[in-house]
Amino acid sequence: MRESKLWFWHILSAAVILVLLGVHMGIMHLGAILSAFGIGSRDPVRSAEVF
Amino acid sequence: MQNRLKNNLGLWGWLGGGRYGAERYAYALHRITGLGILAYFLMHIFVTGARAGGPAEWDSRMAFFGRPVFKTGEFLVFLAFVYHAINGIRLSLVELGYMVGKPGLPSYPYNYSTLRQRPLFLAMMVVAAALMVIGGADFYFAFK
Repeated sequence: MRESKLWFWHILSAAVILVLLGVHMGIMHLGAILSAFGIGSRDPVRSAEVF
Repeated sequence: MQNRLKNNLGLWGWLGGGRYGAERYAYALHRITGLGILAYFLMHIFVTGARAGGPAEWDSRMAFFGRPVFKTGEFLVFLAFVYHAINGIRLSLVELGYMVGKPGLPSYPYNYSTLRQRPLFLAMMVVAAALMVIGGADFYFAFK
């Protein structure tokens, strides 16, 4: 039972990480594609975008 | 401590595939890439932590890490990420029982689960290689 619970938390944390990394991927690395749809930035690490 | 067993195989015991074959090497590489990505995350926190120092600090650090050597390092992280992600999907599928077939009586010639899931392994490695090539093209040639 303990292993089942740990496995459940393991899978749940994987799902959370997948969502967060997906958002990160979109914002930070797919700016060229997203900016074509009017969202995001082509250069998200530029000072003007960060501050 | 005197009763502790001697590690006869050393590093090879950790990395060697032996009779387990290609999947054992895939597992070793999965661990190595996982540790590599973890090391990158720690450095990533240090780099992005420059935001707390204000725009001047941020620009200075971005300029420093924009050098070609760090670009290459970033590409290596990308390769590790692609391998780890694709192999992770393969491991998840196998863990959930897909692509390993159903258990049956052991009749010669033996067709054990490692062999049954090998096409999945090969297919995933092809996918990973294709993503690495596309990513490499984007890293060094496209969108510049």
